[in-house]
Amino acid sequence: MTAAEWIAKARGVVPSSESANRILGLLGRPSVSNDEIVKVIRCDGVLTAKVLQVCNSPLMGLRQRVASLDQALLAIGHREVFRLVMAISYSAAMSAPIPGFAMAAKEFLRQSLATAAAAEVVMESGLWKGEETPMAFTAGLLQDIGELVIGGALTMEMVARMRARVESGECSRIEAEREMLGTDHAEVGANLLKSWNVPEEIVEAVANHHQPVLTPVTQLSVVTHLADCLAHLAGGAPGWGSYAVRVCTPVVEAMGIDSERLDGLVIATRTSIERMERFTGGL
Amino acid sequence: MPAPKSWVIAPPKKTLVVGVADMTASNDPGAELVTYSLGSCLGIAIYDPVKKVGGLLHVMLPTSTIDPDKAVRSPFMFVDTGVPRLFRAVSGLGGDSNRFVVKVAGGAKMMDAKDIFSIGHRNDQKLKEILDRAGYTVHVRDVGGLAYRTMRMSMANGQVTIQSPGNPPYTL
Repeated sequence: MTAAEWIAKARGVVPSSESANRILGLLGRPSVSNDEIVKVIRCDGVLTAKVLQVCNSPLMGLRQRVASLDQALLAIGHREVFRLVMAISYSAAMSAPIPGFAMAAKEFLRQSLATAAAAEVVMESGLWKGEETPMAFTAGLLQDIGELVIGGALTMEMVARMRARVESGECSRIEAEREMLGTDHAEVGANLLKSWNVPEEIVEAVANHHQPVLTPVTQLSVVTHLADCLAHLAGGAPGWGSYAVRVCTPVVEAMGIDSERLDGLVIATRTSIERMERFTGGL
Repeated sequence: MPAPKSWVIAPPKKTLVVGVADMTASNDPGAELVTYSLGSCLGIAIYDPVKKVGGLLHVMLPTSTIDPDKAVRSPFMFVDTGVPRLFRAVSGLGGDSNRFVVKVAGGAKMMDAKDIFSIGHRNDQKLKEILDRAGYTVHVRDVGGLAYRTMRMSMANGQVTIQSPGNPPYTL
């Protein structure tokens, strides 16, 4: 089955969020103001209500009750509201269990949020020489969305064969997917996002997060690849064979990452994940 | 007719969750200590079978020298600052260090040709160094591999069970 056929099968399983897609569309433009993003959120009553609900959850720890979107923006800032909107938009689909990868309910959501947090750490660490972009968070959040599609449709026999390949140490999990299915979660996820008209940068970051692109121009997939590795090391890697991830040596060399630098990044990622869990605990 | 034993509902267990970079010690024989998400992190369980006291530590990185401030705020993040505190906490509950049974799990390893991302291995090496210096040995271990693990310890008898996704739990 091709990636496109998997997508056709997935429609309805992974619902698109109209408001999130509109915001992502805005981010794809050369410049966008916070006001433009807020305008989209304001037009979506359900989304606004959910933002207020999460802001008022005890886990958020705000002293004053947040009664409007303006108050939310004042209390936690545009950036946090944007993160919340993205997390809220995909939380329902991402909360489902994924039997094919032995992930319990909400495990995939936690993993995706951890990877989003890690992507921001990479972006802010100085390793990324490109322009800072809010797309890193979203790319991290969505990079494994293809697992929702594939993992929900794998038969027990396919899982057993893939696990045997991975546990033999011969191939990574994504390589086993490709061997068994002729496609993999990165390709399926990228095709799904393309069908939602998500900006090309995010589609690239999802498509290549296991084979990041360094030349001729370093792409956002370098960030998602490192974010994937860091989220694993900082405590977010559910599912069978989840450590069967091949670290891209050229990226490690190009970024000058040694053990000491890596440990520092893992600490920063853990801090970022804990902060994210506080913010999104009400989801 | 009396109900077969298997029908009898067991009393509820008190579950104490040990988070990432966290530690819990207990002397409650009705409790169970559990830690989730052990990837490259190490879960270190110690238990005194006579006093029925024990503790479970979830460490993330080998050495605190990388970030001394973080080590002050979060000493259980590191093997070198977490392990001595685990031993002190269990001793503080009446445990005798001569009787401690030490069990270790975790330390999963990514596929990294340069081995830079082998934090699990470095954690394990550091633990070995610290325990060797203090004269302790690990009684049983399940370290390495490609999956993350959940580790549980019964405070009634010190039994440790390990479960990885898609596999049944087994006694370590």
